[in-house]
Amino acid sequence: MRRIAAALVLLLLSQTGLAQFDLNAQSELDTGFVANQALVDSLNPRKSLLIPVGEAIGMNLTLGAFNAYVTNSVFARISFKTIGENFKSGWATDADGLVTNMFAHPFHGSIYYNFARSSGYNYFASLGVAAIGSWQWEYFMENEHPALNDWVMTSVGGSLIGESFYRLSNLILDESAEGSERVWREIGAGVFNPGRLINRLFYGRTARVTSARLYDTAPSAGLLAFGMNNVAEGTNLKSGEKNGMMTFEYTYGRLFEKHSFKPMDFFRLYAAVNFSKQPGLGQLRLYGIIYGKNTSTGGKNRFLWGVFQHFDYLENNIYQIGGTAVGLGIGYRTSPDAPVVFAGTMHGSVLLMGAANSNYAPDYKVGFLDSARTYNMGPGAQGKLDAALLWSWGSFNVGYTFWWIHTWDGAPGDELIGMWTPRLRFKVYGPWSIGLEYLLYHREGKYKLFPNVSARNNEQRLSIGYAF
Amino acid sequence: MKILSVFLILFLCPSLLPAQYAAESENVCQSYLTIQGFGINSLGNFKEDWKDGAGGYVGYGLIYPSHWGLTFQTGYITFKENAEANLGTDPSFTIIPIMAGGRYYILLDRVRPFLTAMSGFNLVSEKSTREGHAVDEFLVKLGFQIGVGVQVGLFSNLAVEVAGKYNSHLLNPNVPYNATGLEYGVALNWTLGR
Repeated sequence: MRRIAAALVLLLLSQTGLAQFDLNAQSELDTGFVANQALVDSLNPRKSLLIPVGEAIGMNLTLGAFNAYVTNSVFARISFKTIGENFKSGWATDADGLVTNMFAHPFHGSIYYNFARSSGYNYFASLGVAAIGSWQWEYFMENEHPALNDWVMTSVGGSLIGESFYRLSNLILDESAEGSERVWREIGAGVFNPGRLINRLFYGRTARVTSARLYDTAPSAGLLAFGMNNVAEGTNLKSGEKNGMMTFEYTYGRLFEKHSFKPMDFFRLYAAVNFSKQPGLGQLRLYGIIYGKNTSTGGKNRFLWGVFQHFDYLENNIYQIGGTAVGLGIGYRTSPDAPVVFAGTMHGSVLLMGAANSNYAPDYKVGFLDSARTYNMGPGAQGKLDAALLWSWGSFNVGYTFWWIHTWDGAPGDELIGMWTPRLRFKVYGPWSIGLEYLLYHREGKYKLFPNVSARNNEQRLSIGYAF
Repeated sequence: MKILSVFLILFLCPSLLPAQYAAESENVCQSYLTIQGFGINSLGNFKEDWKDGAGGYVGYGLIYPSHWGLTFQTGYITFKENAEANLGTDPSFTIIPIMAGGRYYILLDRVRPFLTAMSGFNLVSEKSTREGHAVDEFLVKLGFQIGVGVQVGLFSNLAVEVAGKYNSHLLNPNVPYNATGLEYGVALNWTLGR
């Protein structure tokens, strides 16, 4: 009876299909929209670089005043003496919470970035403005030593998030719209991109009505899923706590249909939110292309190489991991016309800054830090695999990410952490699907002053998804 | 007298430059080779051990019509022991920087004030005696520079440049103990092509 029921379920599920790589497995050439540069230059002329730099510093001064006079934060009590001391000491590291250092700082950086991006500057110049804004904050606005980890996460991580959110706000903005629709579009784009909203108000673009299309867009696809997960203490499937969760995954651009790329012409975003028993923000993971080339390897098969940028933040009751990386990636896709399509990418990157929770970290005291660290932090390397097999009825995805973090600050040693994420997804009806996912975390901690750590944990997920 | 003549030539030549110098540089990418000599005033707790430094860079740069520039440089920096530090006999602290960075030229004229930021790796070598223990270390560390400068065209292919930069070369951010300092230097830039 059980076998019959299982067969019926599989038969029902086999009528459906959906995969996060669907967008890249489609052969229809919807290439999005590329704005006429001459039109952009005439209606949105590039502003002086002093404007976004001034905005970044102005935001720092405002936030610094808020910290000093409203929240009365000790770190914000600055003077010429504290600024001078920061120049004398040079870079250090800080021990703020993992959420602050590895998640909040990049979002702060995305605002700096978009001050410049929405003033007409490209990705690299805007990254430079984010770096200047963060540097000014670290050296001038705190009486603690300037933190190199903050600077890296704010400027590099902030640029990845900033450009991705710039692209998302492009999809929402419509300068031909009027009335309440226009207001909501501007506010909606501003939620993703507050730096751009400030400049659109400042430059008078929120009130402008024009039929000219000024902002590039690319085809995109997403999946919103609700379900349950179980994060186990070890590899025993029965242990652990059940938790309601929501996941959101989004693919912007066609990785295998463009011949060459500008930064974030393609990116993939994955977010997981927990409803109980686990930290609220379970995952926020993002990677995108900075530069790349596609070639045909016969028929519609495609091979791609490129430079990619990565941002990862993961937190559950067992693991806390965060970091930003830059490196090389390759990708391959078989013909979309075949009954089974393979699409995937593989990456090897320099982890510019990474962090992982450690029970030893609080035991390794650092004299100048004013709070206890809960994680080991430093640079290292990152590997990533993101691949899918696609059928008409569904998909099988395999994801794997590996982090090597060489501790700069925290318990001296190395953290070697990996996460497998195989997943089956079946179409059920129209855009609806069911997903089964198994996550296996493995960790080897090798320390100079403490016993090594070896651990395996698993997580299971069951979800109902809606594709859009 | 010879010195006075050289000074006069250097002073007067800029005004003899072709009028189209500035106009050309507004429209084409320029590349140049550079050689620079500089001094460094150490800062912070690093200064307690190594008082001041000096060195030279050789480099290659690109200047784009958009006012942005790319620079690559390597060189050699040596620091003098602080007399009060007592670091043993013949202590040495040297850095070989390998850096890349960007510039923003506020003006692209015969006189070109610029902002610069560079980062890269330092090959750091220290030989000293600390608290009775011999230190003989070779380290690869990150280095950072940020500063301002001005480049003045002397001849159609030759420019002189003066710059002041804040250096923060990482040594041990956990203390923090870093080779921080204020660098001031003079460079000659030879334009390769436009």
